[in-house]
Amino acid sequence: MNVRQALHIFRKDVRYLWREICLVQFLVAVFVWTETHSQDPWWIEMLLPVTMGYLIARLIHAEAVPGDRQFWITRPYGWKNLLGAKLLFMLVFVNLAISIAQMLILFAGGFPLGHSLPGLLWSQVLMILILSLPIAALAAMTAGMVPFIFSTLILLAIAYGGEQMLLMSRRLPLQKTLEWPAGVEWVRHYIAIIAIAAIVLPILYMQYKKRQTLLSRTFAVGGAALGLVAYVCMPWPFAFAVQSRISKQPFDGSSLRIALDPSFTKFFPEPRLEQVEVDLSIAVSGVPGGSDLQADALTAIFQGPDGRAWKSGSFDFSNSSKNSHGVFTLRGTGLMDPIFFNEERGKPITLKSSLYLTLFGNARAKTVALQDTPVNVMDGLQCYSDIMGDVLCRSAFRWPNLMVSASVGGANPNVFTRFISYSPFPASMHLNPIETRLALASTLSTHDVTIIVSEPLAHFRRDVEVRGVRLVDFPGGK
Amino acid sequence: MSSALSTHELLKQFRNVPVLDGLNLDVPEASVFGLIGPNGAGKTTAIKILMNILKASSGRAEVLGADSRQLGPSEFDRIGYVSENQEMPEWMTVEYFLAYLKPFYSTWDDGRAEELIRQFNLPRNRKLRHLSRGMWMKAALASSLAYRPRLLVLDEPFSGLDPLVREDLIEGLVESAGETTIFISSHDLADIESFASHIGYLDRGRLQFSEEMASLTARFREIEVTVEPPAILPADRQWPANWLRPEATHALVRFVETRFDAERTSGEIRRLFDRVQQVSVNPMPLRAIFVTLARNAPKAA
Repeated sequence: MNVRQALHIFRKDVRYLWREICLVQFLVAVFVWTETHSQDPWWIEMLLPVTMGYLIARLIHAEAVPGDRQFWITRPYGWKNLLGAKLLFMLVFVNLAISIAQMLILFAGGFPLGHSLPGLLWSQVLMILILSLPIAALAAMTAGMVPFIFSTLILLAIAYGGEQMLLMSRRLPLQKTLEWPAGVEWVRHYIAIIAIAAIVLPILYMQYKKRQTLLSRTFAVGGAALGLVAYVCMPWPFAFAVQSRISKQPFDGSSLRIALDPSFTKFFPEPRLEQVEVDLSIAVSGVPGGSDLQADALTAIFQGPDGRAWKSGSFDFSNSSKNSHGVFTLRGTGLMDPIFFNEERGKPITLKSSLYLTLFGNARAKTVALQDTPVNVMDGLQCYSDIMGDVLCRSAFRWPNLMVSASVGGANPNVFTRFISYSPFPASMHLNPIETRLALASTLSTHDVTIIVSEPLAHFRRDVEVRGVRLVDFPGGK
Repeated sequence: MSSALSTHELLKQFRNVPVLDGLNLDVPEASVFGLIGPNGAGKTTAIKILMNILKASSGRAEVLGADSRQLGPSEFDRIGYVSENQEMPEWMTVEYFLAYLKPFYSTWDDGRAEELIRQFNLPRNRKLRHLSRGMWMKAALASSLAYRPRLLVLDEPFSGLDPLVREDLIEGLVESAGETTIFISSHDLADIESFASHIGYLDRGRLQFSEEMASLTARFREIEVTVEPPAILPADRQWPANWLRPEATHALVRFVETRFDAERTSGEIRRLFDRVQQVSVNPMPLRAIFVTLARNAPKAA
């Protein structure tokens, strides 16, 4: 690669696109201002990526790849130099600009920059893979802004249509296979990111080295279709298996005692969905002392004596509690086919279920006097109370993969959210570098709040089989 | 003499329609080769394959000794290409355009660039998008001559230009001829005639002939034979195949001799016509040769 030539092309592009560069930098400045002064600067978070996409497309089209009339294709351009110049431009005027903006926002928010550095770098990696390179690849397959915008609109329409189909499918029995436990959804996202990279990088290579636009377009359409099918059809137990493999400590859960808890298990028809809602309550004992347990997902198969079976998707776990004897009660909600329910409810059936659990431990706590301005607590968390007395915590680049709870005045701790991502990566894909969560705790009586964090130590699956279950024995079962 | 450009059985099809049909072409180094042919003959397609802009369906082409499919920066360092419908960075001024291109070329000659700007009277600070068609073409040509390329490929450079601009462009080309092989496709036959050393005639994707200009103009003659009336054309089987476009009036027979040889042609005339009173032999301009060839394509070569 000839660095001098790459820099020469880069300088030319800066000269050519100075107006667009100024526009993006102005919007970046507005972004910083709104993020540090406004509660909900959603419009700038929408506008900025669009403008950056426009800048990248204009940049690529300055030496358009498709076509046979461009002056540059018969000049001594080295393809690596040209591509290098374009990438350098994107790094400087998109990624560096956003990095500086995010640093300013974090600095204004009082976050320690050293702690935020991995997140800062990783968010730029994500931005390159999710925003810059796909737009560059699309622009490299189009000859000008009109076909680029047209292609973008088609892609957006396909994405919107796909999302609507997914939403519609949630009314179907298929629904639960499409919904993923929040903790492991990052696996699917990162596989999608890898798929995007596996599509756009060869396209950029093919376009800049060989200018094989037809081949690139075919590859893009085929790759995107395959990726979409894989994304939709990927089973979440696979992601959970991945998550188990990268657990911090080995724990297979065999020491746990798991039983169906009849006290909260019940059935009731859900006419709107033409299904029967099943509330399953599962009691788990034998959890190691000092640890906490969370259910990420449960799948269940109800099998009648004649072999007829009803297989559920995953259950939503919205509630779990622990009694004074250290027994955890996990409550999940799922759906059952009403025909199966009506025909089998009086018969002894077998419940085969798979529980996907996470063991939390290494809890740490710190008590702080919360004010209306955020204070650094620990693990990159800043906490404060708003004018309503609610406890809020925030962190840089992503909510940490920790269970965070707040205890006000020694009361039972309230978790900020059960929907935490177990992703080991230090950032998620958001322009706004600060993620804020609210706990159901009030500081109206006292400002002393104890923030407790515990780490996810092990992710594991337990298969349970309960024989002789009669649905009529449970509330709603008759 | 070695070749600057050559093609071997070059075939190009667009949706199964052949545009080039086994083109064999050889352009000697240091020549000014004019490729002529009617619209749709395949001239631009041939040039785009030679410049590695299009891929041939089959056959091969070599440019300065390299496979045209492998042309890259090191080859384009020595090649200039100017086309009438090229897309240029129109936001650049003439001066910046030349300054921008300079670092790409190892043989860029600032003095030559200055000379071309003056010679073509190019407005340095005007953007390419604001240039007239003639000025635009001059700027394109200047940007391709300033590094003294070994090969300059021009695709219809004179199309739609006024005579003065053409003259300026030709002047610029003539100065470079010798050190640069010039391969030019054009409909403007009079312009090509003034400085081409070789001519190739392409029709329906095949090269009908290719030869030195001097040889071509030497062998084409318009012949007028005055006979005692009535002038009657001999039967087809007696009519030489290399005599084209025959026509007879009251006492005059006119045709184009495509292989003129004073002694042989004179003998043939006397064999075919009785009572020949006068024979007039007239050299033909390239335009007339082109029209003759275009109307008698199968026989011409």
